[in-house]
Amino acid sequence: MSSLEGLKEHLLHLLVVNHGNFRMMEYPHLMAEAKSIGMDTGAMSRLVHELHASINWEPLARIDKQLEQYIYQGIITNEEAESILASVRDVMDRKAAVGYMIAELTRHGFSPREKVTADKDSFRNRWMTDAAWAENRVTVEWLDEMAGSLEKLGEISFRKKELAQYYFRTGQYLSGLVTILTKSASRAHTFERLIEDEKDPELRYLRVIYRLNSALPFRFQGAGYDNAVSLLNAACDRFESFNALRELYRNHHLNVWLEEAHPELSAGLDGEKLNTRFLEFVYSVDPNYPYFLGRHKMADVAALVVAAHDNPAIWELIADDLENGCLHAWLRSTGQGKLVSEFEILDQATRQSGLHEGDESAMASAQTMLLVMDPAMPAPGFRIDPPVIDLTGIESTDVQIVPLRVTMENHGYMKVKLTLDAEEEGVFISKNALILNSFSPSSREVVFELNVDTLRLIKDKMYQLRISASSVYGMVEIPVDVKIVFPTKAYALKLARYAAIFAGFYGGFRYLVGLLLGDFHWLVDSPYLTRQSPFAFFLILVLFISGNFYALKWIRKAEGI
Amino acid sequence: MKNVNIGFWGFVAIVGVLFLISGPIGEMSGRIFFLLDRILYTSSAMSPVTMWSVLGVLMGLICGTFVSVKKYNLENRMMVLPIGLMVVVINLILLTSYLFS
Repeated sequence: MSSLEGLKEHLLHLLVVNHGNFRMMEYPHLMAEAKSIGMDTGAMSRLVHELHASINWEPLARIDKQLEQYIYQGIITNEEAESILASVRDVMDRKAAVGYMIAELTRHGFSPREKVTADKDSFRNRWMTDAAWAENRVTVEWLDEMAGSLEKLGEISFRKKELAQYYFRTGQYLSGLVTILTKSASRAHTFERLIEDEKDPELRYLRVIYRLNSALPFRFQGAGYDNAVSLLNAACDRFESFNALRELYRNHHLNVWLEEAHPELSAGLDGEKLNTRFLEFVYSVDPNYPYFLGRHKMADVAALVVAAHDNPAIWELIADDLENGCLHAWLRSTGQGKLVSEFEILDQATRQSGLHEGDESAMASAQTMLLVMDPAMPAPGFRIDPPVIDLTGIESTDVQIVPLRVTMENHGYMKVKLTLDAEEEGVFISKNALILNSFSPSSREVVFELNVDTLRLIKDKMYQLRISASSVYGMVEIPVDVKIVFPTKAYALKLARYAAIFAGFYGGFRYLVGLLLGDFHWLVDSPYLTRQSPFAFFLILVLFISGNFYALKWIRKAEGI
Repeated sequence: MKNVNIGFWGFVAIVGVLFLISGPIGEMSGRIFFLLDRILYTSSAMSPVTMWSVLGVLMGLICGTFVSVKKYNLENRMMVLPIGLMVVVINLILLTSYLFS
């Protein structure tokens, strides 16, 4: 103590425990303390006077009155002490009340007879006078130690876990001791039943020790925690510890402790959805604990929105946690249930749209949730290039392919459903649906194609079609006009091509004949030439016929007809 | 068409047989070319190579139309045009050849 506040506190405590009268001279260190901060004796006694006047003596008197009978008995139990504390709870600080009661009891010869908790000021430690202790002293041997109460049995078992587990195999060892200590068959029976009913050794151990002594701390990662707040403060720091605690909850270890020691926090062991129930437990202790989205620690909704802004992995985690209900549980138990109900309305509409399948609907839900969480976030949109397709006057030669580029606007995820309103034979689109995701470079811009098979459409007829692209966030329509005309150009090209090929072939062939005969005149003019070398003519004829034959074969193959 | 592998000796045998009957067949072949020349003959001044090229053009038109009809799903009656053209042109050639002879 080196400040005025500290000095005041100390003086206040002395005044209270001494019922208002104490001699300053009996506390020389306090005098020295006062001097060191510049107070003389006069100032000191004025301060004592002031403090004396400021004390509310009424609750202290009430405590005194209630303590009377226990002082007479020479023994006070934890329950009795708690009921006294409860009676002054509204008008007095608990710590001050406990301090006063302990001072009072100590003055009357009470002292703690058995250390069953780490807190030396706990009333569980069996406060008794020497006389009462001599009378009530019943001790039993448990795991090589002496115990005089159930609490002590629990405390020993807590320290010697493996040995205790060994003895908890059957109910007979413990229930015998309980009978001796409590002189109650029904309590002994309780423990026997507890041991026999619980088949899991770890759960059996936990249940028994916390039933024996509910003030025992909870063991977690090498440390003991007396209450849920300190346990969660330690666990919510890092994902690893949070996850470890969740595992303990999932396999009921934590819940057994809660049931026995903090029944107000326990949700019971039966039922499923332990993950969400764990979250409900955490946030019922303090809604300000962080939320773990996967391994990412999120302080609040705003932090989550910021994290999701540029991290696609967060989106998947949001989708997962929406699926398993953890996110709902977090929001609901931190008083943000409005977001959940808003989300559910929108999400239902999204689901009813029938756009999404499988994983897609999870991502769509994540998108919806983020929009609900951050009203400033613009809803995703898209545009299509070109906005209008005009295919009037195209020749019916082959399949016309028109690429359409769908580009994402704003951030996010969405699925776009594509439909072509009229089911015309020969007109179709290459995709029925596409996914736009601003986080994946390949999905920020998606191309699909309009295929017009000109050969399957009727010539000179106007087809007025429409491509509709719809998403949860909007719809775009692309008018498509198609009119097929006679393929004049392509036909002319084919004629010219084959005319040239055949002209060359026939002319060349006749030239070859002339070359072989050594005479380039008409055969009509010199018919004797045909009789000069009949076999040569035969070979030429074979060549000519097979030339035509192979030419036709080649054309069919080359043109694919 | 069935792909019959006749082998080298088979080929030699066929050519041998053909050589034996080459006399009458050759004469017949000669007559076919004579006939074609007769159809295309206009006058001695015109080169037979040119006239055969004209026949090639007509054949090419038929072939091009056939390809277009098949490929672009045009109507079959389109084929009448080039075939008709061929008939008309050949008739005209024959006519001129009579006029000049």
